[in-house]
Amino acid sequence: MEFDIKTIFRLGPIPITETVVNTWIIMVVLVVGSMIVTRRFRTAGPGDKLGTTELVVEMIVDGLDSFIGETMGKKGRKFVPYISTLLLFLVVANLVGLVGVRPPTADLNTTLGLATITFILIQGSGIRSKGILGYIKGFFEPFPLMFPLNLISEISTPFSMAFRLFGNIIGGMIIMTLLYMVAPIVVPVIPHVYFDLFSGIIQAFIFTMLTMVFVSMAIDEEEEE
Amino acid sequence: MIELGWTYFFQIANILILYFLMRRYLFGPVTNFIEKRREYTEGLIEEANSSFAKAKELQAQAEAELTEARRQAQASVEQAVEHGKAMSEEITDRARREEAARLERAQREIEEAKVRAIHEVRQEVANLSVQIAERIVEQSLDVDAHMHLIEDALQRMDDGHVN
Repeated sequence: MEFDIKTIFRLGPIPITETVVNTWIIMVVLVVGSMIVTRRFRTAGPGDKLGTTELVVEMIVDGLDSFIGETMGKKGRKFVPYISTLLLFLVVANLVGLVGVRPPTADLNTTLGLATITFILIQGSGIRSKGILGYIKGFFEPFPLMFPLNLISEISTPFSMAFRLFGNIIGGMIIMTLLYMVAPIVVPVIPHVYFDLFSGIIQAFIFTMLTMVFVSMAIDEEEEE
Repeated sequence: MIELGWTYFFQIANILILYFLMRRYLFGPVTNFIEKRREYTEGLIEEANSSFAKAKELQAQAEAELTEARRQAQASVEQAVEHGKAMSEEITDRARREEAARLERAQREIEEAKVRAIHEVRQEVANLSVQIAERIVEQSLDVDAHMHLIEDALQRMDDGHVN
């Protein structure tokens, strides 16, 4: 079936799939692009005039910094590089469908991997703020009977995030593939704008926003105490 | 499509590697640059503020000096006016004194001239009187005795006793 993920090569028993290879390509593009656009930042003096590219890069980085700082508060500033990386990766990963590359986010392994990191960040922040005993005690609040529900609520967070992103991207991909089969020339243009551009950016934003909100909720509890 | 496998672990590793690389090559340099420029700008602002404060201080100093100079100039003008007034009074006084002395001298001269004139007139009158008397009595009298009589008569006339 066309939607199955191809194995590109094998490292012994380990299959290297299309998702992993496409992620590597995105990583190379992002890292090499970053190295190129930040060349002048490493050599320029503080009073030097910057070029247009540098100003745009600065605007993006500063904008991300302000946005994440405002959403997560003062204590969330340390998460700015990770959240920014996540947002940039998701935007590029969701948009690569436009150039005919299979989006890595159209694979549950990717979205669940990202959600796992978010889950670890949430729980790590919780444990750090309340201490291990306080963290465990949190599952029995407001009363002990709530423990199963609290546990399910915590565990379901990464799954809901992972499936939301995966479902949206794979859904868009399936619809686009079907459209190409039915009307291959002019018709797919507008759906491309919606499913790849609009939906891709929105889903990247939602995933990042949820990560910020969940992590900052754990930090806020820390601040309250 | 929805089965989990090695890819899951690869993707976690990929994202973490990407995070470190992006921090190293994008967010680090740009944030450092922004921070460096912020410090540089703050330094410039601080420098401008200190220059401004210094300028204010200099301006206050200059204004104080100007006020002092004005005060000194005013004092000099007042002193000059006082001096001028004193000089004017002195000159006026001197002129007044000189004038008075001149007047006094003139009066004295007039007085002397008057006395001299009176004396001369008196002498003339005496001579005339002698001549008249000679003519009347056709007799020569002793001039000295005659003169004495006339002097006496004139003296009495001066005293207001006319016989």
